Amino acid sequence: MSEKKLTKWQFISIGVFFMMGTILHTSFVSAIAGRDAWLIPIMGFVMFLPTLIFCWRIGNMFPNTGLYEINELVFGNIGGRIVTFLYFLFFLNVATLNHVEMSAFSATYLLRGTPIVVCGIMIVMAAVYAIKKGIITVGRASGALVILMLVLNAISFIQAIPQMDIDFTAPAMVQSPGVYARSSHISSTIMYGEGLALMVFAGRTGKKVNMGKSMLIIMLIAMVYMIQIHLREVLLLGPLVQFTRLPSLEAARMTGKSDTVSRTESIYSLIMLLCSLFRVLISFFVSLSALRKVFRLKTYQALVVPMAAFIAAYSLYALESPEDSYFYAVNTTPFIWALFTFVLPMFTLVIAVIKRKAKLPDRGGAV
Amino acid sequence: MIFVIAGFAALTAYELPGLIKRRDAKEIAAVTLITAAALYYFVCYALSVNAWSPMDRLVHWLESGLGLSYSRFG
Amino acid sequence: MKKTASILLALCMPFLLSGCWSSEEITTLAIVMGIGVDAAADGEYEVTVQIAQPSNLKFMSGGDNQDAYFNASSTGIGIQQQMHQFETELSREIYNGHMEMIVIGKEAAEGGLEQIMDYFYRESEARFNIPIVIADGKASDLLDVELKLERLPVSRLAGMLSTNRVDMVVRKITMDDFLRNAVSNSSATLPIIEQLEEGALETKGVAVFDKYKMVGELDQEQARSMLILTNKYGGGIATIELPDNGVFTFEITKSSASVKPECENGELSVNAEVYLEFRVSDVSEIGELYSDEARHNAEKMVNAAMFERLADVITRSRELNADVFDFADIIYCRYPRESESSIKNWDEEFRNLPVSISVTSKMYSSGAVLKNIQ
Repeated sequence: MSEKKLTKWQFISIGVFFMMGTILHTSFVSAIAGRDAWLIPIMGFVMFLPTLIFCWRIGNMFPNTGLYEINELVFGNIGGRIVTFLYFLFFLNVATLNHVEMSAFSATYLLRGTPIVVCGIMIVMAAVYAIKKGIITVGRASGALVILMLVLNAISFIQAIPQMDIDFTAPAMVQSPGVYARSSHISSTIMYGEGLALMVFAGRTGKKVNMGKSMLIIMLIAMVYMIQIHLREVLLLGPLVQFTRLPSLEAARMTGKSDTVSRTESIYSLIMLLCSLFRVLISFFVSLSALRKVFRLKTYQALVVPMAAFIAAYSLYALESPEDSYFYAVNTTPFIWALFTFVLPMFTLVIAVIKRKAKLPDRGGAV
Repeated sequence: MIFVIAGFAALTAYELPGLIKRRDAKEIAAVTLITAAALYYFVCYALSVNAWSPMDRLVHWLESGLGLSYSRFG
Repeated sequence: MKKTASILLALCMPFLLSGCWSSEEITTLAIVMGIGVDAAADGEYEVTVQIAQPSNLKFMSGGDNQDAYFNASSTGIGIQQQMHQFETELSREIYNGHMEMIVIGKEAAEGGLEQIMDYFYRESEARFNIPIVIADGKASDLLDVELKLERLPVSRLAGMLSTNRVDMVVRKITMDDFLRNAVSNSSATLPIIEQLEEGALETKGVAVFDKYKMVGELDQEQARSMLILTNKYGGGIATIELPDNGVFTFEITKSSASVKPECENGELSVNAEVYLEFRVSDVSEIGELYSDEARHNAEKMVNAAMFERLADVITRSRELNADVFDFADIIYCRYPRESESSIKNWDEEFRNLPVSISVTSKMYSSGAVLKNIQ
């Protein structure tokens, strides 16, 4: 029985859905860039281009090969496993930190009486269920849901137009260069950089899927999405965008047409939940795959529940408090993440180019 | 918290027959290690004691030790 | 076996999905429709909450809705503390998600609103678009006004701000509007509502704030002029006193102001051009108004009167050292680099900022008659 493959549409929809998970992270950029936050996705995209070039070049050199298989082809058996193990640590922390933020969001805004640990467990159990079903099922689900999410998002934006004030964006680009550099760094490493997880699925995609092009499409859609999110926040909240923990939600709360269409933030919360869940789910999935690859396990199925328990438990202690998640995200995390989203991929590309004669056996590179 | 740990244990136990059948020592070791780590954090949470977190240590070290942080630049 | 387990799991799911852990039954909630904060002794606050009684709220409004709500008051340090006190007393969980109005007593406003606004800002249930008003007196009295056509006192207050556009003296200021001004160089304003005898309410003017502290007031005419100059005026009635005790009352139907900053040789200034369209309401001793000459005379009279009033409000705001016109933001948007040093010292700069005003008005109707009926 031939293994099922992700179609181009399924892969792109997984990618877009994953990138939409940045909706809980907009304060990382808004708090620094303020009214210019809507320009940062463009600058972040430019800063992310080297990683995108890596995806393109390495995708062409090793078509339909996942990131972890590429590591082994480039660095050899032992070296490849070491690099994959580093990616495991990276994606595990990505999953954990996204889980922390999602639990905090649920416990603060949605289920105020529910202990945060219960929120966290519900989130990982949803992820466990999805992973047990397999990436193909997740791809099918995302293919169906992503259009709905984008449409709901667009409706939310259009609904907010009467309350928007274009003057809140002025004057643009007058802040110190450090502000833009810092915000772009945060955007390129955290918002875009975590998208490197999608490279892991290259081995599960069909032959027609060009990894470089697909990643470019995903990141361009993500850029437009992030611009739209930040723009809405700035046009509705103005200078308050720098002070709010979840500017997206606060902006959504301000929209509505008197009493007839109000409290639409309940729909918006749903978008936020689903998109963040996807981010946790995919990061969890790729960290599991990395572990399986490193230790040459036949299957990861037995690891799913223990790993979910670990993420749920570790997220309680990953940082001293959920508040730290924001503090470190705007100060220290971009430097750590740059190691995995820029340095490591560049190093891999350089070695791969040097070892140009690395031959690729015809294998799917199962995840 | 006991229910949480019991719930996860029950779900993990569901995989035990497969684990035993495959007799993959590496897989059993991985499951044991990860389960132990998860248990460590859950028990610490239940007892309200501090647990060691590599991520927390790392960011603190980068922040205070190496100074690799934007907070340094104001 | 697997099928059985799946069916069992599916049957158990509804128990988990019903959200019973964080369930908030309406019968266990105290739905806060409005909050009033007054200053009490020793830096404490007297907090009054208006709690709706949903079962008594009648759909068709009317004066017999006195049982549809009740007010509860408590005094202490910090608002959160008082909320917990209410929860204990009422044995209900306070729910702020339906709050319609925040009323602040004048004395509390003069003491500073930092702590009060910080509570609402951090509170995740309260929305940013809740209107805030200042009570000329005690907020708790305003939350107990006599009901005429509304279901709740806060509805009456909210209604005042909405229907105010017919004769606009003040406009609705929400929490985010206030906070935006508080964090910028502009000064925030909040409507002042005064309770007159026999249960009547009147918008007395606006309270002017320096950051979070109330520093003065603008009366009705000054408040109207401020709205005109900030291009937020929806329309209303204005009166000019004529010699020999005559009056010229007109309704401003359209108002637009174009405020442009200028920078010549590093010197900043503001140029305001105001355009008004009006309709004559009632006059005495003018005669006919349909000829070109008569119309131009009326327009010149309105120009002069409105110019005086706009100049008056600018003078008043300078006295209070409060830039209620957002001049700082307007200048900074246009000349960010040139105005950087001035903006840092805006308290001083605003007092000396040259402002030139020009008013152009157009009478588009003298009503249903061509000349005075004498």
